[in-house]
Formats: sequence, structure tokens, C-alpha cells
Amino acid sequence: MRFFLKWVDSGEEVCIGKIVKSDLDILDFTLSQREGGIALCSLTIPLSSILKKDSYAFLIAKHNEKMTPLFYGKLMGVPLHVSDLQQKIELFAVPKDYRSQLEKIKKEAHQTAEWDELFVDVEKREDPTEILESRPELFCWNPVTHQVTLSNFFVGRVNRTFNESQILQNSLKIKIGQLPKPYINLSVVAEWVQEAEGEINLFPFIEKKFSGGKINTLTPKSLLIQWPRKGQLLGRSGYAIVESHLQPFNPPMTGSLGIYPHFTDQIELLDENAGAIRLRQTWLNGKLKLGWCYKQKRREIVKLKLNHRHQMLSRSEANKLDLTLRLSDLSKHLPTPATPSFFETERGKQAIGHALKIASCHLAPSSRTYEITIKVPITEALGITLDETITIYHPALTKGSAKGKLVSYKLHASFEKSWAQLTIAMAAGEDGEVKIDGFNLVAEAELEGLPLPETLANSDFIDALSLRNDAFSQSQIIKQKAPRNKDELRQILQDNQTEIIFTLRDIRSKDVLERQFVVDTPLFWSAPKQV
Amino acid sequence: MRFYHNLNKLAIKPYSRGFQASSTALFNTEIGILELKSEEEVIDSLDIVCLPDFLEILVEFIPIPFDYPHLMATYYYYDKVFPSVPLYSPEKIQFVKAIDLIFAGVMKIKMPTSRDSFLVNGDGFDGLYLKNETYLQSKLIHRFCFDFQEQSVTGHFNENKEIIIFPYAGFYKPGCHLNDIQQVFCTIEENADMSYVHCSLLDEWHNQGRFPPQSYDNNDKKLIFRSSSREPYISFVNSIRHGKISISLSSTDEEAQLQQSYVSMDIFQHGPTKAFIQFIKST
Repeated sequence: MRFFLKWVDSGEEVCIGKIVKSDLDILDFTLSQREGGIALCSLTIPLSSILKKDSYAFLIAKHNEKMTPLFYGKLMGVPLHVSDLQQKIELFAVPKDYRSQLEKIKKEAHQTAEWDELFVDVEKREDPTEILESRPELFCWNPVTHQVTLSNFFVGRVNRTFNESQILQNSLKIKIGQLPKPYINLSVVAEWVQEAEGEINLFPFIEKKFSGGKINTLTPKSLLIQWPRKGQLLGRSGYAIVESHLQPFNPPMTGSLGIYPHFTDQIELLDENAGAIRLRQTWLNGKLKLGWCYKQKRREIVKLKLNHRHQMLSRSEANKLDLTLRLSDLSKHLPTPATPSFFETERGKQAIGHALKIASCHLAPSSRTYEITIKVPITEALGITLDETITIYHPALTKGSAKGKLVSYKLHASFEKSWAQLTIAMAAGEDGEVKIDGFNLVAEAELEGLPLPETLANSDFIDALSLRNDAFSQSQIIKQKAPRNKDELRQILQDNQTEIIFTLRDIRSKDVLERQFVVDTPLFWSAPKQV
Repeated sequence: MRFYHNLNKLAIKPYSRGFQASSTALFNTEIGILELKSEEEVIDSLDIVCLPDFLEILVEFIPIPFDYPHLMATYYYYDKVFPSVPLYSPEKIQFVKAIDLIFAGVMKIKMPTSRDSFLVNGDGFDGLYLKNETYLQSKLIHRFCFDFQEQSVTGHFNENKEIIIFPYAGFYKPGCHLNDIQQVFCTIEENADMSYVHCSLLDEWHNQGRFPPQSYDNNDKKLIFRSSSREPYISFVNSIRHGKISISLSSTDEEAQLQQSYVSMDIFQHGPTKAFIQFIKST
């Protein structure tokens, strides 16, 4: 087997099959790659070798007359190590177009159900790595083509098999890589400002309080003067007058029914010369509309526990994980700005589901409990990438075989030997992957503050309404007090003018209204069963 | 650039700080109370109900024509009978049986407390409404009736030289002056070999110093008014001025028992077929 290194000038097209000579004498090389990272190739070459600084080069293997590119990368400027006769150089498989490739992957990922922008700060939404938070996947960098793809934690796109005869003797090693996390305590926090406004027509409520169903009084002047003006604010209560007027009117004739009397009964003044009089009863019509405005900061916290089902039973990692996810600006995701609860909406439940995906991605790496390392002849691993599922058949394994995801490889060749070391991670899940379907959200307390305004009627904004001294009551008082003359009558009316008092719904705002929810549905997640 | 770590998810990185909303502690800080009550307002006068001193009511004149085609007038000269003529000829529309005064929708009110009167559209204000029996049925304020004949009449040549004068009809033409509306009398005479109804206005008699139905000697003739009325006839306008028409204002609320009667005291023309009748409180 021979190895070639071929420098590639910018814009040059290389025909791998026609290479007959190496641009450098390769004394030995090591080609390695770990999942999520790019491939590195370190070569030991004669000190006198001429290097093309900042150039890209192919590393090609020729085996059985077949030329297989193993690596394509850029030379690092400075050698790693220099001795009397040799130098060690390093090349990195850095894609020239990695930005555009990642951008493309990012855009495609944003269209899938695995992306929820609520979980990412605005300034980080263009970062391609953010798409990996809720996917059990990593970027996979092809060491030769430099193509970037997403590769699943547990299963690769390509299957490769090694049986006992291919594995170098005494090279099979099995270890427990990491213990699975038993569960994740997840908190999802959402904050927003509930904003609502509306109008209430108060006039019908006032009218209903009066006999006859219309405002009537013997003291219209005070009511007309006290009637609120448009634009008037009721302190800092959130209420303001938006429409208001009051004026006397002639009510309809009702004949003998006498529903709308125009004057009082005869009032006999006790003084002899004062005589008997009738007072005019004024009927008033108008409008009184109140506008209200409400703002309240709200915070909702959903707490849940995602349990990890795995085969390790009592052997779990001691360090539990508490994960708090804080959502970004909800304003575009609320059904209306007046929504009093986010997590009780469909969008909120969708966010909880996404949070569970993120949590499961935290459990996923810890579920790859077992690691098997094997060494095979380098010829068995030509063209290997990290997007591969490796199946090993060996009598040392339980049931004689094992399957897992290739998480790292190292290819080494020198004059004396050449090999490929492969590390495979296997998940100790149960009964196949358990998906999370539905959950029950329970609020720990009732909703405080203003509920959804659409559920409120005008009457819900009136806590109390009191009326004193409509015309009928005033007439009764006059009869009771039996004034002697007009001056006394005037004083009685002065002391018993018509009054209307509203106490409105309390819409005072607080610093924040916090509400906690728990998910009482037991939630489990499990990786595939690979052992 | 730390390419490896930046692109490796497994590197530890902090999660989003999340959106932190601003506090709303100071947005609404008070409970909303709306009080409509007067603390200091002084009642300087009582709103006592009083009835107007004077009323003016706009009426429209609707003449009631005669419909007696069978009534005839015949003149006799001894035994000679002149051909009869219809007593009330349909062409003579100026002669009417009565005039209906119909409420025309407008009143003027003068209250004791104000110097000027104000106009009211409709037949009521402040709970008081016109209330006559005839009015409630058909908006009729008053039917001004004239004396007329309900049977055929005859005229005779009288050797005693007595001239019989009959109350005939009322005179009214749309557009005529109010002073022209008056009682009309007639005598049955002969003209061109035909019986003839000779009409005379009340004004003409008054101008002669005669006041029907009082009888008079006129030179060698005696004028006899054959009328059931014992009172002197007066013109339409004078009748109004003498309180011929009465109305009442009543409260719509019968329990309030508020009612006031008014009598007519004058009349003013208002267009060709309308007039304002002025009323005063009757004691």
C-alpha cells in the first residue's frame, strides 16, 4: 500500500486516479477525527521537504491499484515539531465554504419542527449551532469532500461491519464511557407584559337603578355639573372617560300608566301663606363610556421532570441535571397581547414540547454508556467517515455482536505498521426509543389579575354601584320632612341631592404576577436499545 | 478562530437569558371610583311647576259645506208660485254650514316667569297636553257653527209689509280675511220670474245699525229675523274674543291631577287658511 500527498493550487482540478507521484515523502501520518469536529492529519516528512504554505493537499491511499482519497485539508503555517532530519506538519480539513454550507443547513432546519425561535435569543438565531439544541445530532464534516451534514447520535447513514477476522488481535476494548443521567429537572420560564384595553358603557347600569329605568331627579343641576367630562382620568386607576354627555329630555307619554311623571305630587307647605306647589321632575338622557387600560408583567414557570429509561438500572450518574430554559420575547407568539397565560395556549404547550426535546438531547449523550474500541487494518477503513453505524461480530461480545455509532477514528501508517482505530458508542436504552406524547399541565394557583377580556362582560368591571336620592326618594323625603316653606324645601333638596357612585373592578398592576405549573404526567425518554 | 469549539455542540455554552419584561408596578396604582355627587352645589331656586298664562294655538280652517240638494226656496205672490230654486246651490262654496278649527301642530307658550313666549312643536310640553274630547278624537279644537235652514223655505208677498229674514249660512272663503267670516242671512224673493235667494251679510246689517235677530221697522216695512237665537249675532272674530272657544291643558299622569282651562281671547291670521288663537287662563 502506498500513500501520496498532492498539493492542490487554487482553482486546480485534480484527477485522483492519475496521480503517480507524491509531492512529499511521507514517513508516517496519523489521520484522526472526533464526532462534531473536523479531521486532522499530521504527517512526518523529511526536513528538506518543500511546503506550500497555506495550500490545500490531498492524502491518497493506493491499494490494489485503487486510489482512495483519505483526506483533503489545509496546511497549518508552522510545523508542529522539527528535528534534525524530520518535521511534523499538520493539515486541517477546513471547508472553504463552511459558512454557506452551515447557512443552508440552518435554513432547512428552521423549517422543521425541531426549531423553535422562542428558545434562542434574537442575536443568536442566525448561529447554526443553535439548531442542534433540540436535535440528537451533530455536524458531520466529511474529511475529503468537506460536505457538512447532520449526523444522528445513535445511527449513521452508512453501515459498516467488522467480524472477528478483521479485528486485530487483542485490540477489542469495552468500557463504560459515562453513566446515564437518571433524569433532568426542567424549568421553562416565560415572561411577557399582558396588555389589554377596552370600553365599558356605564349608562345602562345607571339607568337601571332609577325608577322608570331612566335617570330622573328633582336636583338636575348638580347632576349635570358633576357629570364627568370626556377625557377625564380616574386617578391612576387605568380608567378614563371616553364618551360623556347628559341632557334633559322629554320622555314618552304613557297615559294612565304614569311611568315617566313630569312633576311631583302636590307638596303642601305647612305655612299658611306658602300654599301648595309641585316640583318639576327632570328626566335625563345621555352617554357615559369608560375606557380602561391594563398592563401587567407576567411570569410563568413550568416545572417538569424528564426521566431517563435505560438499562443501567441503579447505576446512574450522581450529578443530576437542573435545566432552566428562558424563553425569548413572546409578543409575536401570543394569540393576543391581552393573553393572561402563555403555557395554557396551544403555542405554550408547543413550547413545552420543544423544551422536552432539548432536555432529551441532554440525556442523549449520557445514554451512550458503552464504548467499544477496535483496531482494524487500515485497508479496512479506507474512506471511513463519522456518519456510520458500525456492527461488530466478535465472540467476546454479549450475544456475539454489538452495534453502535462511530464516534472517532484514527488512521495511522508508518513504515512498520498501519492500522485504523475505531471507537464506537452504544446506547443502553430500553425497548427502542420512547417518544413523549402529550402531558397534563396543572396550575399551582388560580390566575391572578385580569383574565382574557373577551370573557368579561361590562358588568364584570363594576364592583359596586350605589344610587342615592332619585326623584322618587327625594319626593318621599320631602313628604316625610314636611317643610313649612320654600326655604325649608330648598334646604331639604340641598341635603338630598341625587348621587351616583361607582366602584370599578380593581385593575391595579403589580411588579409581576408569577404563576407556576407542574406537569403531573410521568415523562420518560429512552435512547435506542443498542446493547 | 477557535473553529473546533465554535462548531462543536458538545462544548459547554450558556443558554439564552430569555426575555426580561419591564416591571408594571407603577402602571395602575389606584382603585377606580367614579363619584357623581355634589359637595358644594347650592340649590338657588326650586323648579316649581307652573302653568302658562297664555297659549297660542295654530289652527287650520276646514269649511263644512252644505249637502242639502233637496232644500228649495219658493216665492209666492198671492196665488202665483214662482219656480223654486235650490236653497243651497253647490256652486256657492263660500256659504258653509260650519268651520272646523283643526290643530295645526304648533303652540306658543308664555310662562308666568318669562317675558317671551316660546314655540312648541306638537300638542304638549313638560308633561302637559291639550285635552278636549273633540281634540283627542280628531285634533279638532272647535267647530264654529253658523245658523242655517234644514227645511225648504218660502217667501210670500206680505200685505202687512213684513219681510222675513232667515239665517242662511256662514260666509267663508279660503284666503278671506278673518273679519269676513260671519253669519249670512237670506230673504226669498222673485227675480226674472224665478224664486230668488237674496243673501245679506251680518256686517251689512250692523252697518245699517241693525243687530239681528232683533226685528226692525224699515220705513214702512217690518224686518223680522226668523231665528231661534236670542243673543245678538256677532262676527266670528268677536266670538273668539268673547271666549267662544275653551281648551284645557292636562298632565299625562292622571294621578298628578294637574289641569288648567283656557278660553280664547283673540285670533291672528297666519297664512290664507290658518290662524293663531290666543287663550288665557280661565279662573
